[in-house]
Amino acid sequence: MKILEISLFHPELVRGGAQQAAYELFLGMRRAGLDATLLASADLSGPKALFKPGAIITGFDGRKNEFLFLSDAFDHVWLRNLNIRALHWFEEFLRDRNPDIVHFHHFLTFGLELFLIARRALPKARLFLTLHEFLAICRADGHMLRTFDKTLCTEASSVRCHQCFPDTTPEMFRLREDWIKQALGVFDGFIAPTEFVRERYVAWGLPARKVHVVTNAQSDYSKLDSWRLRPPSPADRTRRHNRFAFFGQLVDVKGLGVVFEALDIFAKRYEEALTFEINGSNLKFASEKFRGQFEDFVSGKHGLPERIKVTYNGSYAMTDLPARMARIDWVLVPSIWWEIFGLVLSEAFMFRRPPIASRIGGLAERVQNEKNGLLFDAGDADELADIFYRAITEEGLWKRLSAASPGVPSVESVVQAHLKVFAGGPPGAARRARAA
Amino acid sequence: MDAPLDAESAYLKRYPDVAGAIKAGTVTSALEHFLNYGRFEGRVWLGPAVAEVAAEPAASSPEPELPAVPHNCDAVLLTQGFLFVDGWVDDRFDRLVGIEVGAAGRQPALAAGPCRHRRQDVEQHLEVSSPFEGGFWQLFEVPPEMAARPIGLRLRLASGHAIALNPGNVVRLSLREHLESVLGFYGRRHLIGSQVARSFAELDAGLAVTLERMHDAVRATREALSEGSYGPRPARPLLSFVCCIYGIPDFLFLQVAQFARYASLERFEFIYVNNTPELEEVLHRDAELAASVFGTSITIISLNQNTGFSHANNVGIAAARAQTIVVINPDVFPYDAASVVALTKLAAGKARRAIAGGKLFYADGTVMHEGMYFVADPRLSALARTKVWTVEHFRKGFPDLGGRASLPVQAVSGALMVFDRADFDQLGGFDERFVYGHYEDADLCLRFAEQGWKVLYDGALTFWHYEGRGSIKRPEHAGALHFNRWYFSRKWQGRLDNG
Repeated sequence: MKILEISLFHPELVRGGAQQAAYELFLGMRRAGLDATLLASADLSGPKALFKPGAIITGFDGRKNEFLFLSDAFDHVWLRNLNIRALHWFEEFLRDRNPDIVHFHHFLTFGLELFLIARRALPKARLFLTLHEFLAICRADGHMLRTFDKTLCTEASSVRCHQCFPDTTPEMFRLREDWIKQALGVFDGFIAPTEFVRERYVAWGLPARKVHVVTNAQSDYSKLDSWRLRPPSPADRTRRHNRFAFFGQLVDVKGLGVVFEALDIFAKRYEEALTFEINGSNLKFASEKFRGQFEDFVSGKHGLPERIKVTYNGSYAMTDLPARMARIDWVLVPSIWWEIFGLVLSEAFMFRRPPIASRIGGLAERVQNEKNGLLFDAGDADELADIFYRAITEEGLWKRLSAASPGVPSVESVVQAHLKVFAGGPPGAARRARAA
Repeated sequence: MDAPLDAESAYLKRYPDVAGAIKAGTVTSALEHFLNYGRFEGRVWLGPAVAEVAAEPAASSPEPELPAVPHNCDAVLLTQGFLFVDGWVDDRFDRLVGIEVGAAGRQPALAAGPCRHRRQDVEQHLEVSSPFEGGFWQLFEVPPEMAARPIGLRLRLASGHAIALNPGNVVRLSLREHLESVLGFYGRRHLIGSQVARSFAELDAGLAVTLERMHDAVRATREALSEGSYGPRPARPLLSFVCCIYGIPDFLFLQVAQFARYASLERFEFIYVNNTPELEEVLHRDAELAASVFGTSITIISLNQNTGFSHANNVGIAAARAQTIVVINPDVFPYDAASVVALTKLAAGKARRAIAGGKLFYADGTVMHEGMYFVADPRLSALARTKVWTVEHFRKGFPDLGGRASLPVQAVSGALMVFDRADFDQLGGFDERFVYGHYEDADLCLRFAEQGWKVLYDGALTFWHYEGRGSIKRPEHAGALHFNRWYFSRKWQGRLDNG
């Protein structure tokens, strides 16, 4: 069986959860002996030297079976590709590779019409799309947050979307939905990384029988020697678990602002010491207000007492995780949007660092409160401050939650789960294809 | 300032405080008081009209002029053959009755009654206590040789006196810009009273003739900038979709996509006529993309200006190769697969001697169109003292009752019209005397009916119509609407009166 995995960006070029999951899956397929090919998009926000005159598809850095789709004319309004040559050469590439399975991970940078072209070029192939976020449903970057007050949105509609974008008429949102659903109509199946995502898309109109839940593929970095061979610190057995950390994008919706607010409350309400380490990047995409807040807390200008220490460690690669996880106890996932999967939960679980997460979306689904982590209401800094105190002071809490950490499913099992979906079968069977 | 002594005396006798003001040296005469203060205080000049010698009387104009009457010429727009003047005058005491145009320093060659409009800035400037239409304007057709020389303009007052206008900077425009400017002004002007009634009066009084000649001159400048066909072209398409694009290019791709959602498009052709030259390249690009993705024939004919609905569709239909034509707005999309099937049932000669419209839906699923009928608007007709015909839609905004039958109606919307091109050609196509858009569809239906042919609302032709979203609105369109309403009413008045 020939499989073509089509990814939004290559994680080597642009970091991000969707491309990481796609790439891990591709590598897992290759390790499993499958004839898998990766086609990852690159656009002009990345290294322009990768663009070659006249080429739409090229190899990538000498890696066998990995190709780049050079996207230079993507229309973000109608999610279209405006380069006729991109359409043509994509179709030629499909015919040339002639896969049995085409597994898209996104339409950004590619264009929705490429789905239609894939169906036309490969009438016998089975086409699948993994739903990595809600951009198909929500024009506001798929966040499903009302643009005017940042409250959570539970349902898109022409008029509700128009409220978020007053310059766009309700009719245009109706057309947007029609066009997206038309393009998604070619797929034999959809893969949602969580039940939460599946329910949202089914409520939006995707046929329930076609939407399967399969978790994202992710290597277990706790298997690295840098973690596995790490000698335990004697202090680990005696000290309090007062080291918290954030991993992820430094943008507003990830909720770091809630943590900052909670630290303020904690400082006034409790006398315990704690450390808070921030790992991540892309602050440039955050709001000005958030950037100011971030700078104040990280530089110390904000004026927290000395017993509360905030540190910014910069961005991180997956291979940095052992070192970063070694010096913390808890992983904070304070998102204030519908986090659909929460890759960072996987990172926390693989290192047995109990997550303290917002009770929202995929986070609420994946974290079992009081069993393998703690949940608090999204945006509730007051509750989070109390959780800090409890996490630091409650005897045996960390040990109990850490011991119950589910870890992450092996990539091999995730590959197998995908193969079950690809193979078809009764919808019920496919629904149960999620990895252990 | 000189004034007839009896008027001076009468003013002082009536308003003794003015004599005190003269004595105190505040003013030098009764006339000066009246001009500077009295008239704003509601005082009356009880003598002949206030007069003053013009600062620079025209050599060939011996009659007295009245520069003391506050006035201004705000704009003179000039193009080869047409002149538009716009200004204001305080004629509350001596009514403005005419505007005269000629070569500077010569006797006026042209004269017309003034069109008036309200100017709140003038009212503030004059500190008047109640609104009045201080603005004046007029559109003249002028001999070309006049346009080449300095222009002389005069206002003629009821008293017989004249005011020489200083035309200031004369703005020279292209014909098309000039028409757009005039119509833009016409659509935006403020009046005390009904816009429709006043428009009818002004157009009846001769404005229509000048506007039509200006429009004719613009029509003569229309041409196609480019034409290109993309995708596989069927030798004999079953249906030709003809669509006029104005201002918004997005709909080309989306419309073809929506048809492709429900049907194979191999037997159809889509002809988009572009009325926005600056979108030419984008539309060719999207035509190529859509033809490639959806496997159909798409032709772009890009025109050099906004030629309006009638002309663009006439051009598109002339290029169409199917016997059955579907005129469709860019914001109209098939409701479901049955919609396209219903259209094909009208193809290949089955639409002869008939014009069919569809059941159109708003995006929220309520009915936008189930045929149209004509109404002489009682209020507008009363105000205009003539029948003003408007077009109404059956059950607009109401829930769909599900009927899919075909029924005779007075007219159907141009948003979606199906007819045989031979019939269309026999009637001479859409009437291009309409300016830009509005009423051409109703006009075509009436011409079909006049032949004894059918005008049908076909409930099986179910389509979405995102009315008003398919094109942009510009100021000149509001002015054109006044003209088109007048033109339609005048064209069909006798026949609509008779049912």
